[in-house]
Amino acid sequence: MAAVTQKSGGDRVLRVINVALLSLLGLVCLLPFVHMAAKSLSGRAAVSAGRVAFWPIDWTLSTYRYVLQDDLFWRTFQNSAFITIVGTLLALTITTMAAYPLSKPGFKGRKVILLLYVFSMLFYGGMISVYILMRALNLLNTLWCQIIPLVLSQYNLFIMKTFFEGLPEAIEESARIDGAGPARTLVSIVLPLSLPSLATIALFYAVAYWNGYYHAMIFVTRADAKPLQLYLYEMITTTQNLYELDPAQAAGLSSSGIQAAAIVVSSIPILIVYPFLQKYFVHGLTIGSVKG
Amino acid sequence: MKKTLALFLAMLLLLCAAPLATAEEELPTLRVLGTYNAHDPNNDPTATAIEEKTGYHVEYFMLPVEDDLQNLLMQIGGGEKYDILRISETMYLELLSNGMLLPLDDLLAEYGDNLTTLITKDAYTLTTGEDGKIYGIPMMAERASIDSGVVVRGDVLEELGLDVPTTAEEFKAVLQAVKEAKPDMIPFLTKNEARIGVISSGFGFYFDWNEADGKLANQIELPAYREYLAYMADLYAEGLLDPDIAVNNETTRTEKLSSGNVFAYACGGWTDSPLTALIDSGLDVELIYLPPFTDEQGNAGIKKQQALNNVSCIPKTAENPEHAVRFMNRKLDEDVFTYITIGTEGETFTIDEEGNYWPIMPIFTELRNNAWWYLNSFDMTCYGDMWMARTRRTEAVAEIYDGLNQYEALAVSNPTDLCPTLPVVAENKAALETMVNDYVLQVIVGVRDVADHDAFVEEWRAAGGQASADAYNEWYQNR
Amino acid sequence: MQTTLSRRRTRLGAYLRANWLYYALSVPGLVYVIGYKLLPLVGLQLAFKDFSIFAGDNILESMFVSPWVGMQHFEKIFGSADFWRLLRNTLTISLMKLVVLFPIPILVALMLNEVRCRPFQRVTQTLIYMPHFISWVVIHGIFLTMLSANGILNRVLEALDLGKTSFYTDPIAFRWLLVFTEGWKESGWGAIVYLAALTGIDQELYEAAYVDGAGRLRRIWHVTLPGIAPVISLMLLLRLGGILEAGYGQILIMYNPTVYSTADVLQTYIYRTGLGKLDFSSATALGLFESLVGFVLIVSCNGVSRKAFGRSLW
Repeated sequence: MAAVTQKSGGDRVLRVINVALLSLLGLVCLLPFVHMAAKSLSGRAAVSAGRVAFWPIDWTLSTYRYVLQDDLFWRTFQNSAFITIVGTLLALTITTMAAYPLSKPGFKGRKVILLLYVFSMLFYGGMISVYILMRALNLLNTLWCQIIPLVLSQYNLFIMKTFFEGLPEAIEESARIDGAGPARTLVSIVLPLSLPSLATIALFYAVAYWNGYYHAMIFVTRADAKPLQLYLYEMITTTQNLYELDPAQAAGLSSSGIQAAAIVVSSIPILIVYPFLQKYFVHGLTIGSVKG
Repeated sequence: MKKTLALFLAMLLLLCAAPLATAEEELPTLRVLGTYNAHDPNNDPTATAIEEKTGYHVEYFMLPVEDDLQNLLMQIGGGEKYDILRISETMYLELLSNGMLLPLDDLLAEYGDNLTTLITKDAYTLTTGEDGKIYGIPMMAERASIDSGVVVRGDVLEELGLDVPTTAEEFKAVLQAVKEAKPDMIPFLTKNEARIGVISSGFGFYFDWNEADGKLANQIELPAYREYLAYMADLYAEGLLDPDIAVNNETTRTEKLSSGNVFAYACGGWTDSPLTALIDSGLDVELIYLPPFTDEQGNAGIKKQQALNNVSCIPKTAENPEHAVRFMNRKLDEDVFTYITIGTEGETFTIDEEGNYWPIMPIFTELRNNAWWYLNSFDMTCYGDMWMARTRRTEAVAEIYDGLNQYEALAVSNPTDLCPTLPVVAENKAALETMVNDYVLQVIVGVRDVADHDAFVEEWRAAGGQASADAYNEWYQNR
Repeated sequence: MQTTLSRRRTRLGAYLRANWLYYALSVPGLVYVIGYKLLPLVGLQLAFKDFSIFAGDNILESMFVSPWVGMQHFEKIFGSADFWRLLRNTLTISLMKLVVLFPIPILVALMLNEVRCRPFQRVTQTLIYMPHFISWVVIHGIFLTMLSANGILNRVLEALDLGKTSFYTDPIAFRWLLVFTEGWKESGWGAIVYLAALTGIDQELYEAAYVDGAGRLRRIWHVTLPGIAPVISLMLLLRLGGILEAGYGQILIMYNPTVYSTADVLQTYIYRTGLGKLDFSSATALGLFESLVGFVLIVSCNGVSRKAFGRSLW
């Protein structure tokens, strides 16, 4: 890497501009979170009057106490964790399996299958027929009815296929010459080389599962089978009946403060996923290292 | 094939169950579907109280927070089996018109003594089908009350030496004076609504549907409405309304109101959360609730809210219709009813010498916060008073309730209050309301001109307004 | 005759023996797509029927026994006086978003790729993808506070003597507001796929370019961009499929009656007027129309891409 680093003046200016722009971008993206965190830690009067910007006023933790004390919050949190972990593992497996053959020009039937995926990506049979299906499978009010709809995204499939196509054919060829069967080539050569792509697709699925609530809104009528994001969505779109709380408790709380706290708490788990996956986004696994 | 199998299974079940049956009757588990509320209905003190008092184990389900009618139809159409549906009037009507509901007359006669005696005949007319049969248990508004008003800052009035306005013109003059003296203040903060009751009173109309010459006409068809609209547009043009009127939501209204920068505010009922936030903000402000404005003839009035809140009905696919009625009936037994709605005297509520009900906080909220969600109906002879305990839980809420209702003497009943929901009205209601609200806002901010009002009325009629008006009038003439 | 057939059969046998894995791997995906995506397409018939949910004994039967009405629902949509305005708005907003926002994630990815300080790169990368996790309801709330008549931005504009702009009620400014907020929410997230693609570029190509004396920008142009071109063209193709959607979820939350003239799109109109609420047939018809347009666009663009660049999705 060091060998490629330029020392010319023009490049240095470019690099400074680049870092400055990226810092600005990072800041612009971070501020709303800071704003929300500040709101979640501020007293009711300040939040209601819209006085909180990026630093809490009248520090309080009562919003977090309120959110974390709610049974439903924990229940839905567990549901979301299950859906996300199981869903992502399943989806990643199926998508990788489906994408690999599609990246092989020699695979007869490839075009038909690809067209099938494109077609099914664009046409949607409507909510009613999907509901009938879920009901027939007896999956309403379960966590599985929230996993199945997202278990294969054609969008991710195409990305994965494109990534596989980017791998030099020569590597697989040499493995084959060494006597490795197709299955062994896939497991011991292709997949290790595809870690960045696998990490990307896993992230896309994990985020889709964690953020998803649309299907739960249709298939789930029992509070204990809802995902966290549906709980949050309901909390944000309906007014919290804070007037029904006792005055002492309500005094420190505002509905926007509670919403902010809930958003902060629910974002943390998924925000952690990315930095964790980032270590697979490394240029280190170059083709050369495998070749040698 | 399926039927035989089901029959066989049912017989098998019966055989297994027979030896277990004791002298005491086995009560089935009831499945109840309700509209959305932010709680887990299967895990709530009220649910426990109901099971304990009635002996029925109930499994509760909830419709989603959005597109709930669509979801309900899909569920019922898809064969999901519930014993009781506790749903809105619109939903009830949609199921009724599709023949999905069970007539209740026979069941009520046999098992429903409380349900028939404690709920008025008037209320039942709202849930009676065209064939004269009862299809639902009506739950009316707990207590007829005034649920809109305009609040102004008394301290600002005093500081500027102004009187409390009682007509639309006086109000405008006051707003102008406030804008003049306090340029940083928002003179008048409103919601995006087709009618602000206190102001429309100054133009002589109080309801969506008003009686004129023995016929019902929608407010927008009245000449007075055009004047009202011109008045509101004028307020905006003069900078007396909040410039963000088109985009305000609950949060921005709360921010503006409770930062003390608003002079007059159109309040939407006793649970209005921006106003509650202002009262709880600790700002030293005096609030005056304006009387409904007097019109040129010297009349004033404000709508009394007493509509149907929701309906409990039994779908044809219900597995335990008798038990459903017995269950709802049992909930109205005097001791059971009091216990499940407001708890135990001395523990969760008290009654003072004048017979007023007061909650004991915070235990009242802990145990009975969501009690209203479980009610199918209530004892109409006494619940209006008991319910006051719920409105008296915080000072701010009680203050707003009393503030709005000080004009009780001027409250008038809506001519369509006793009208059963008419299919054509229900079908068009939501779309027409959106259409009118959007139009009103567009006129106020000047995107459309009030001079073209007649053209809009025609548009509205063509979009289902005329059909609704005809349906209402047909009912009104034959009532 | 017999020999050719049997030879063909042995060839097929050899092919299958060599490539059985491809077929085995394809099975789960195909089962899913056929069972979960294609089977429910029987629901598309609702677009041509007068569907009543209670017409049959159960909802599935209702679907089949409801009477055919031909193109009636399509005529209702296309015949509406507002249709052309809605279509124009939909396409305008979609194209604005496409033209302005499509290149941004690529730029961001390239910029991040040029950063040599690993911790800075990682932190920035994490920060810019955060807005993706905030729902439109919340984003709308944040922007509304900043951009309202007395919001912070207008106060700054006033102080600079630039005059106030009502971003939310000006019909033209509002469209740009839609584009900007979407860019803010999704650009960082969109960059991830390009970042992943960048890791696949052979480092030797960079070294070769360096040896040839290519500067930084030239290397980006000649090595990096061609390296991620397949992903770029894939992303573009996939975007085209949703051209009639225009991100209506965002619009539905952010717009207001004063900007209907420019911001009302097909889906928001259907939603607001209640046409699609209970009228499953109209909603299905609109969905089918959008799917068809998207499908035709994708298929034809794929063809053009294959002819012009020799690169295609299938």
